[in-house]
Amino acid sequence: MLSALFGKSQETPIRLVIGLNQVDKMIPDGWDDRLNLPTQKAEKEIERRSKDIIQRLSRYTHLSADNIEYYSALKRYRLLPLLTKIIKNAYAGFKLDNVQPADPFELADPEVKAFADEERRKRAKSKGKEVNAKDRMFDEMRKILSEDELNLVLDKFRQERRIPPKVAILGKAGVGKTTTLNSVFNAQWKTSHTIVGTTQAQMKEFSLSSGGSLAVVDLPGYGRSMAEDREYEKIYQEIIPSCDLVFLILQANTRDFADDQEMIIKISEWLRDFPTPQR
Amino acid sequence: MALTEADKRRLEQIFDQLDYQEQQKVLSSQQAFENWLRNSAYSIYCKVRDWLNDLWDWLFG
Repeated sequence: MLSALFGKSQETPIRLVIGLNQVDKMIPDGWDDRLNLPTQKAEKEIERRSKDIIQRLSRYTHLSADNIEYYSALKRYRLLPLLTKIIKNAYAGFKLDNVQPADPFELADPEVKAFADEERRKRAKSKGKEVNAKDRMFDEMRKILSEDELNLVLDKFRQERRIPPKVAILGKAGVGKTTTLNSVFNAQWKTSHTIVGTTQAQMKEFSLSSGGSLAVVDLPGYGRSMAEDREYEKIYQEIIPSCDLVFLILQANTRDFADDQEMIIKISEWLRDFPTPQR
Repeated sequence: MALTEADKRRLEQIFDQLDYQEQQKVLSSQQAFENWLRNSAYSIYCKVRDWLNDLWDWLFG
């Protein structure tokens, strides 16, 4: 089957994505601000170093490389591959498939933006009519399933669509959590935050540019002191099982991932105990 | 400042990458749907599983 070539697995994916942010800072003088892109030479080096980090993280934590992606939220670089991993690994991640990340060319020079807009128009024309895979899927399901079975699936699908995706976001201070949320989901913070329980976790609601909303639990950062980490672990264990996705953001341009590796192992264990969100 | 030919080639290269990344996004969504169906309605998933594989091949083959 061709699907096997795309790494399609029969196992439920673990609801965890690790984002390696700030790759734009990896290579000095490697960023072309006019195009808002890395230079070709820097891009190759960013890819090489990031893949090396991903390989190391994957080896130490036994987490698949399918759960880890490198990007820059500030420069809006590689947001689509990051969103793709989020959709793939989140529970019912298809609810995010209308999201289009923020446009990187909005940050480029005006003539670059104009060229990019024109290129998009040309490519949209040449693509012709997009195939709506889900419509086709339900049409075909009609041929296989009884009316009752199809209605059951459609009811569950609609019910699921009504529930905003719940994402727990985690990372050390200054790692770019809010910039990441704004860029990758093209989302705007909608309401003032509320404290979850008696903890320092904050619930935030974001409006998606594609419609609907995203519930985000902003978890307190780890790695400051052992006492704080122990206290925060209780919070993580309380909240993480209810989430559709845990999104852990790391700083790519650092060498010390010891705390992060330990945290990835713990979160993976908690999520494996609850393969689907506890709603 | 007008774009040079090298700038244009670089941007076209990026757009080729974006087209591929968009395709991967669609693929991920299909995979997410299949995973969700397996968890939500397993007996129905078993009935359509083979057909879903054919759909994958049709979409990306």
